Amino acid sequence: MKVVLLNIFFALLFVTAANAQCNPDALAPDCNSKLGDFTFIKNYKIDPNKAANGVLEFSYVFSKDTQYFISVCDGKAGSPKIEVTLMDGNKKVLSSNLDKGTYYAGIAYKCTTTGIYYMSFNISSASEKCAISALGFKK
Amino acid sequence: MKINNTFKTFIAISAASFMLSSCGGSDDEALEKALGSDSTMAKSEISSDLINEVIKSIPSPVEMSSMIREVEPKYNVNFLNNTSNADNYTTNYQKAINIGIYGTDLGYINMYNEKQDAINYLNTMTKLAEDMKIGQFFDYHVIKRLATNSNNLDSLLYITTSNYDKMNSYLQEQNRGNLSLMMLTGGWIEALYIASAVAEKNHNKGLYERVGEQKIVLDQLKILLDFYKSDPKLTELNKQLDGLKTVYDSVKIAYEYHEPTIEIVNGVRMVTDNSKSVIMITKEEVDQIFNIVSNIRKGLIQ
Repeated sequence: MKVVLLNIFFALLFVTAANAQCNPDALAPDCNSKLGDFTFIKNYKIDPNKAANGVLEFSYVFSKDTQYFISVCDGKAGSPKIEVTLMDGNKKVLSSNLDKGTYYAGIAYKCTTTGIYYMSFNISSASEKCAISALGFKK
Repeated sequence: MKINNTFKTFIAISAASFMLSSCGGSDDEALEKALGSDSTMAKSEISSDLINEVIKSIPSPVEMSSMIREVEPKYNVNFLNNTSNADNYTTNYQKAINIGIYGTDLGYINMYNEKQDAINYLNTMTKLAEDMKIGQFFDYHVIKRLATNSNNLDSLLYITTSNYDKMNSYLQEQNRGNLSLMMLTGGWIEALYIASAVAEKNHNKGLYERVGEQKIVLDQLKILLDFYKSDPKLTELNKQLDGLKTVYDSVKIAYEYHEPTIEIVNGVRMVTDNSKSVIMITKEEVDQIFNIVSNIRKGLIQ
């Protein structure tokens, strides 16, 4: 019993330490380069220490007649298992990067309606929960 | 529990923002309505994390600069705040506001590939930032190298926008969100000033609309400024924006919802919004906005 408790203690310690070491800034240059021909706007840090029930949410004012790209990166090869959901100002889901079990590298959005939009990042299924997102735009 | 309250308050702020834009009520009224009967959420309990999230929603001036560049091919240095004014800025308030203003100017300069001006403005921003102990976000030598190499203009724009973003995040993380808000508000005022000046000159419908949609951002900014009532400078700034709010109250934004379409393009989910928004703004309203924002800006840069 003591061994089990000790194992749980160290496992929790490990997870806490891993989370405490989350440094999304280090992932930014690589993630920002994935915006391609979109002009960089800003980064959103995906820090598990700040997630509520595995979810982090950010908002941004999108402008009509503009295309946006939301990329998400965890520093590993391939698409991270982080679900990005884009919602309009009424929290109506417009799209997600998760479709039929496949995680896509990001969401490109052709905006025709100016307003506040929400981006939610669900890290519950991610093996690497420390990540970063980059937002870019082009006309 | 704290997280739940934070999330609820976030919804409350968003709702307050919506109410402000749709009802035209005062900030206090909108906020109180939004907070409703939930007695656990007093204004004083609103966390700095929450404020920072709302600050993050304020759009980057680089988008406006890009639009201006499309409409007006000619670079006009007269739009910009002269770097010689920087010697007059002695308080943190003046420095933060004008880092924002110079930041927008730098975005504008970058769009026109004006290398020497880019270096001058960068130098000025660096000095102001160093005074505020945030100079570490400007690697002057790296940026100067990029600025002098015409092949690296995209990199220059990226580095300056990225550093500006990092500087704002850092201030928020250091519980200096008021300074971040000053920078963002300064940057927004400068972008609105240049955009409305170019819109007036070119009578461009797209730019008129871009000026009109700033109604949404103004509402966000005023809600944020309202949270810093204990800061006399931000309170004064908030009052200065009241004149703009009065004009923007008559600007209407109509929405029509249609389901988006989604396709996969090169491994990316491509979403096309089929909804529409129509921004109803007249030339007279753009003129009024230009006059008011010019006066506000004049007071900030002198």
